[in-house]
Amino acid sequence: MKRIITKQSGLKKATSLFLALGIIVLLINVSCKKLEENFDFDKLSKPSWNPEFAVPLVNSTLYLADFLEDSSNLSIVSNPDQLLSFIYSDDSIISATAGSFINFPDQHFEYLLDFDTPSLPPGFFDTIDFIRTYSFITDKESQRLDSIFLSDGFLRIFGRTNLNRDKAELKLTILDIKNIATAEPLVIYSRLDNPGGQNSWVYFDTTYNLNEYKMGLNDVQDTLANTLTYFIDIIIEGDENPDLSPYTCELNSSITDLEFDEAFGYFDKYELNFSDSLSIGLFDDAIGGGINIGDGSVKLTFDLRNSFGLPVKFETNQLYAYSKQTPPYTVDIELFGPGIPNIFDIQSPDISQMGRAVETNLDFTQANFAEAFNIGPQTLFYDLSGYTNFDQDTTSQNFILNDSRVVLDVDLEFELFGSIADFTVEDTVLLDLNENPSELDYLLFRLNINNGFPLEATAQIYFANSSYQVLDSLITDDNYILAGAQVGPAPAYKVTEPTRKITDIMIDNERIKNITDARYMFFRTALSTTNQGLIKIYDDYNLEMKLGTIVGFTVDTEN
Amino acid sequence: MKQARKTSISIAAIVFMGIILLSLKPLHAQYDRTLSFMPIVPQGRNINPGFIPDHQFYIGIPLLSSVTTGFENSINYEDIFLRKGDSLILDRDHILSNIDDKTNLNINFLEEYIAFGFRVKKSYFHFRAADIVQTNFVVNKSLIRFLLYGNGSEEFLGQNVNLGGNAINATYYREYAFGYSRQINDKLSVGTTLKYLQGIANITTAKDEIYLNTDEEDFALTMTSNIEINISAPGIGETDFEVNDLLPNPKNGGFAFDLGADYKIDDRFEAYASVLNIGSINWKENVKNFVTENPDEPFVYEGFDINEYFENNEFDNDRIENILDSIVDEVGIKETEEAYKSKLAPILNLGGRFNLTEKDLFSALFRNRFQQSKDWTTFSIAYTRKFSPGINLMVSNTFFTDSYLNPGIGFAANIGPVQLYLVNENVIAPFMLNNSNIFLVRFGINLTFNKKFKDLMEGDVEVIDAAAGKE
Repeated sequence: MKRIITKQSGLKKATSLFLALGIIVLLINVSCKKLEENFDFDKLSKPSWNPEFAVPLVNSTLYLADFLEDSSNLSIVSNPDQLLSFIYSDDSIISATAGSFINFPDQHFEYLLDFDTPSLPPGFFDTIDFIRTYSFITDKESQRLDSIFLSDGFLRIFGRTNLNRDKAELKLTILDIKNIATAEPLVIYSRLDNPGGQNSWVYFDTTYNLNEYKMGLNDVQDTLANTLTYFIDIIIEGDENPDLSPYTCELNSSITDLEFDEAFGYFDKYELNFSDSLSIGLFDDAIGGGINIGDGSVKLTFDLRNSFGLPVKFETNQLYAYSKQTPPYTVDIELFGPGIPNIFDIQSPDISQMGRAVETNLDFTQANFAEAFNIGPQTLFYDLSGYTNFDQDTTSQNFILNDSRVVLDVDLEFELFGSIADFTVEDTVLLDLNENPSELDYLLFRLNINNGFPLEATAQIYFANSSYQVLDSLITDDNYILAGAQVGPAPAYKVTEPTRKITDIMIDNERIKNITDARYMFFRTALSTTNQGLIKIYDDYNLEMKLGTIVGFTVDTEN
Repeated sequence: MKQARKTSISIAAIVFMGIILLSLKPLHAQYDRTLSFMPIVPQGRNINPGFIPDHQFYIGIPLLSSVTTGFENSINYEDIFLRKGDSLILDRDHILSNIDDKTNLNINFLEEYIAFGFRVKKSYFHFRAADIVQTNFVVNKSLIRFLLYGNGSEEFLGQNVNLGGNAINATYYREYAFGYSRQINDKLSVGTTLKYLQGIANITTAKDEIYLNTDEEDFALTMTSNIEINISAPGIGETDFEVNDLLPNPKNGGFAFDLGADYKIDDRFEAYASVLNIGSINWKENVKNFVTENPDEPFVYEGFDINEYFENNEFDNDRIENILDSIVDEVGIKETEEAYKSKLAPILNLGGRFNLTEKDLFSALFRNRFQQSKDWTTFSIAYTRKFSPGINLMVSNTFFTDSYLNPGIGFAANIGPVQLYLVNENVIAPFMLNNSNIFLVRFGINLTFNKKFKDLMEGDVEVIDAAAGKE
């Protein structure tokens, strides 16, 4: 059976096919136009709502040290009763060493020796001797140099003689200069040979290093202090040359460039200068207000380590506290109380302690620091002089080493006990937020503080442009006031109950723009102790701070 | 008697439809739904492997045998935007009142490279190779609400918010399918399709549990999370992405199968059932996993130490800008590179046909797609007119909870051995794109040869010029 396909049915199918294709084209065309029309987001208007996202920003438990800027000269120590102390320390001030200021001047002397020679057949010898003394020149007139152990120095012997012997010699013996190791006296030989007597003058020049010698200038045999005795021998050998006596010998000597390891005697009065300043960072950012310290809460400590074997007395030339913001700006410190001069002695090592430093620790708790701290000083300036043999007792027996010195450490310790009223500090922080404020509708900051310090604070943050012109402040209605923790009775003054405060700070878009334009933040805080009474700060006090923000975003429909 | 039977059938149909409509759940991505309503299109076998096409042999034109694209979402344009005059308005309450508890967004694509099938007596064999892209995003309403209000709003401050239950499941894979169907008897035919899968890219949220509490006093964030997100994508590792990476990767292999049966109740009624995509893909190459390290351990973020905001007496702006990154870093999500398995979303089809006359066919299809996040159920009805043995014209409508009016059209015509077909779901979408949730177009070109093909090839067919009225 044949199946019959008509051309008419084929035409129908073709028609249907074109119809279907037409539908597809129509659908696509309509779809595209609708898409273009409906998804024109330029027509999207700004939504009437903004999403609000909350983020915790800060969660800190702040102890006292966290409020202080890093300072190399501040240590915070906890005392046995947990009371905190600030200790401001200066770098050690080191005096000049003895070798640098106690000098032994160069010495020069000359002798003219005239002598006759006996007639000596060849092979026979004779000695012509002389004794000469020399008064050693000292740095200070009243110095007494008993002995000097030399680390360097030169003894030079030079001169000339008209002696016409084939063989002759000059022998110089100095009993006051002995080898440290062997205790042998210094002997120097110089040849005076004049073969055939041909020369009118015979010259000699000998230099000797004294670096292993000890000079005793006040030995038992010396009748005078600071005296050197020379024993001079001219040794001649007989020959055939004619005797032209009398002869002469010009003897010159010098002792130069003396350096010492140790020296004994009496060295008289020298001045050692100690001048520096101690930065008190606690008050660096202070711009006003003051502080009343508790009794005995501040002490100045001078720690001196002296290795001079001689008495040293100190005297202050200047000692005062300086405040840049609070009149009278300077307060002189009287270490021992009103009207008593700032003079004190320090310990010195005895002979058995030679080579060691002896420590003197002086606490000046009775000084007028209450007056000084009331101005909130940033700096303690001091200029002290230390005097050796201040009383100039020439009979005293001193010793010095080349590196003998006095080292001064100054500590200012402040036990945190006192009261403050409206003590105002200000700090500046650089700011560059680089934010697009148009994306932010508002910012709500929530500050949640649990204050365990007996300090109440009013605070404000200012935002300023690069010209330091204030653009806005964080808190608009009034200063932020944080109450201090409640304090118990004396003598402990311990916090009995912390205080808690939650504060919301709303910043709208316009103010956000001011803040993002700012380049500086000024923090200004006025601190007072709770009820402006006496408080003590213990090491377990802290402030728990939580800062969160709710950010109201602008739904930007144009991006 | 016949009248009474028709009445009872009608009532039963209405009740059935009512039950279906009431039980409908949000829609998920799927395709090939209304294709089953046109019996002459051999690709109908992809819906029911028990379906044996009424031709001896067919082969799809390579790359053109079946091209499908479309979207199926539980929200539409007007659910988001309000139009007043010439302006578009975003209104938070409007959005929240229009979205479901779970918002589904689906975009799918299918490209059949090669497809053919042939009958051998009572058996029918079928093969196809196709690239398939299935993307499914499920967003929990609470997350959208959270994003629109923000955790700093009164709505969420101090509340435990469940931000989980979201899913991203997107898979791009190549399917090699071999199908076999058999006519068991005059009434029953059954079939199966075995599929070898080669994965190309995938992202799967295996777990998404996030609970967030924002303290109303200090805004501290307490978060508990149990997240597992698996990704396999070319270029995700240390090597740079290259175009060759888009080729199917045999190391990301998998298998799946379909089962189906078709039963003729009588001359007029037919019923069929099928389950599709029972299988999975093992992803071994280009893999990354993001997993919560300690799922039961709450993470609390209360802010940074104040000193971290300042450096050298300067406010450190980077700290603010990176604060969210810092929080995410501390949440404790570890990154691994372990192989994982992603299941295909199985589909259950239950359908029926009623041949009112030889040329008038009524059909219905209940479909449920089982997905990890939420099932997706639809119900479709259709009327198909068989204008001639080679032409089907179909109109349909698909119902689901978010949209009851999604009319579709379909057309298939055999012109000689050339078969063109087109199905569309929601034909009004191009005209009403604003409130259309689904839109699907599928078209293709096959060469089909029916059982008289042999006769045709032997010249045993005459072509008659009907217009001339003579042979």
